[in-house]
Amino acid sequence: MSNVTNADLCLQHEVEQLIYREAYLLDMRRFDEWLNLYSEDAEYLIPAWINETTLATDPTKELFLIYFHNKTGLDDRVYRINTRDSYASTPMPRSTHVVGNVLLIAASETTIEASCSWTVHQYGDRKGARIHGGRYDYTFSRHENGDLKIARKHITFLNDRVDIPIDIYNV
Amino acid sequence: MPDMRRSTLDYSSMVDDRTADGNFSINRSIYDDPGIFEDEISLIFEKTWIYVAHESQIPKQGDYLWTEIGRQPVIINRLDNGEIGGLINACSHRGALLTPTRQGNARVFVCRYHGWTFKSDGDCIRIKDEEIGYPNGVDKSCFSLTRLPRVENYRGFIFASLNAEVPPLSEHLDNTKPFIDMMADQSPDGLEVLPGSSTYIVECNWKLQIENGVDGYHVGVVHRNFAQTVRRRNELNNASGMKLTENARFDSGNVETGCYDLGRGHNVIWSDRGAPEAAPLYEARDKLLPTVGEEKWNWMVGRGRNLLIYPNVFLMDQSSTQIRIIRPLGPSRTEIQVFCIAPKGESSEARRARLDKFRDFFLTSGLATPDDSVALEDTQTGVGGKLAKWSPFDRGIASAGVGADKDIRELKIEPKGHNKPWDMETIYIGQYRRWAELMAADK
Repeated sequence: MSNVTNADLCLQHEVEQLIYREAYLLDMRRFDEWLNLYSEDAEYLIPAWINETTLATDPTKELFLIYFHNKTGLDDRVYRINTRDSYASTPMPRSTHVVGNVLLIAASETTIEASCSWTVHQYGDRKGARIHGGRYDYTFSRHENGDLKIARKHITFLNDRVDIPIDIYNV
Repeated sequence: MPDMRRSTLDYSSMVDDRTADGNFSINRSIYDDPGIFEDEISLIFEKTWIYVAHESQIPKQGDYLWTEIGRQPVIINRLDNGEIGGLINACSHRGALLTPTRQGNARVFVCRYHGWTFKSDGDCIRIKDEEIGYPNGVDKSCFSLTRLPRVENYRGFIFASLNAEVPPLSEHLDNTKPFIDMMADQSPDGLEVLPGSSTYIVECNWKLQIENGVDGYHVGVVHRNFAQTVRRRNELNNASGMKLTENARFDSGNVETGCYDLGRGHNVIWSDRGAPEAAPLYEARDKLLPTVGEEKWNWMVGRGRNLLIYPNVFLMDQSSTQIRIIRPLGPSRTEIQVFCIAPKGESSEARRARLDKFRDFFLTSGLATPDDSVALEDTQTGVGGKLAKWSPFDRGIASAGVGADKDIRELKIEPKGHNKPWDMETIYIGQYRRWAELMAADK
């Protein structure tokens, strides 16, 4: 452990806080603040499974459950939820994200990659309690003002048979 | 023959068929009665043609796919002679599944329990330690895998039946064929199922799913928020061409729509596209128009279509192209598996647009399908209120016409009936008459 510098610990802390903040804002349904965590060109991906062991890798040729090539896709989702006219999202199930095992994969001055595990416990009057989980692979970018923003979020969803509608608030 | 029906209910009383008086109603018990469900499995799903796969999923010899017909596990595979075969996915010895994965390639199936080995057509070729167990010899031909009685392919779409007595597939598909052709003819090189699929479970009866896929009436209500969201997106992005998300069908009366009862339970609903140039297929206009002709091209690209091939598959050609397979798991539980199917050889822009539009609408993680699913779950819960016994399907009886109208006459088929607009419920009369017909069988 003697090789761990204070800067390493600070970075680990900063990354964890950002990941936890995202989970918190989603659970609190503070979607406008949540959108602010993303850079304008952020990619957001949930690949489909090609088979038992392989995830889709190319959203232009293979099926993805969700793929946004920039932040406007996330914005569409928030807009749709806010119409209060989506049958599936009104009322919205309650949820709590649990994120852990946050591992820094790579770090430079401008880019940081991290991987972590997630579960979402969701409860709604109709479906009762459901738990799903998987992995988040993040890329963060350091902006000129020093802010760390999400530049890419790749969500592995373990199930390939899903018993609930999936949206930005429950993955 | 003994009466195989488990339910003591009289099914003819479940369908109140008095269209001459303007009435057609369904007893809501058919959505949640366990006895009725059991009979539907044996009398519908194990007796008729069931869609199982597209040929592009098993292109090479030995390619297999493990799926289900009703509740029976089956293998659909490409045989050594290039033909398509079908087997019950169970070792002839003790019944273990023969496929480790949902899809794969196996020139022989080796049972992972006791090691018995079978050719891809089902012939038993090895019994482990045969000479010890059967010192006097054994006739391995007695241990062939059970072959599916019928497997047939129409334009690449593979159907199978557990019932040897079904009519030929072509006869079963009947009036759906021109609509299947409208998919199959989208490329001279054929179609391909794109890698990856999505499977979701909806806690509703399978028939609610079958109704929903050809329900024009709900579109302007349940999908109003989809239309609103994509309209805003189109404006923000100043979208045009394939990047445009076409949304004319969501506003009642905006474009022309219609629906047909094609007979044998099959239905199709259609809607003119407000912007045909948004369709990924539009780029193929110059190539396809001379071969298919203007009338068919207008059907292929000018109109979005949802085709139900009763009882278990939809071919959707709306903003994107989808195969949607419906599998009943229980009276109140249904699995839906969806695939994106695309013309081989389309441009990378069209392929990308097709997938973008597919994710938008057709997935349980999209902007539309979740709303259907939850509406159907609410319906399932609601029909449990048995004091309210009947669901009417009589919207549009007054305007329903028998046979073809001018639009479908171009396709040279004679449907059972037509109606406009697409939100008329007279097509369900065809679905439920077929249901009653199949459920009336005694064996």
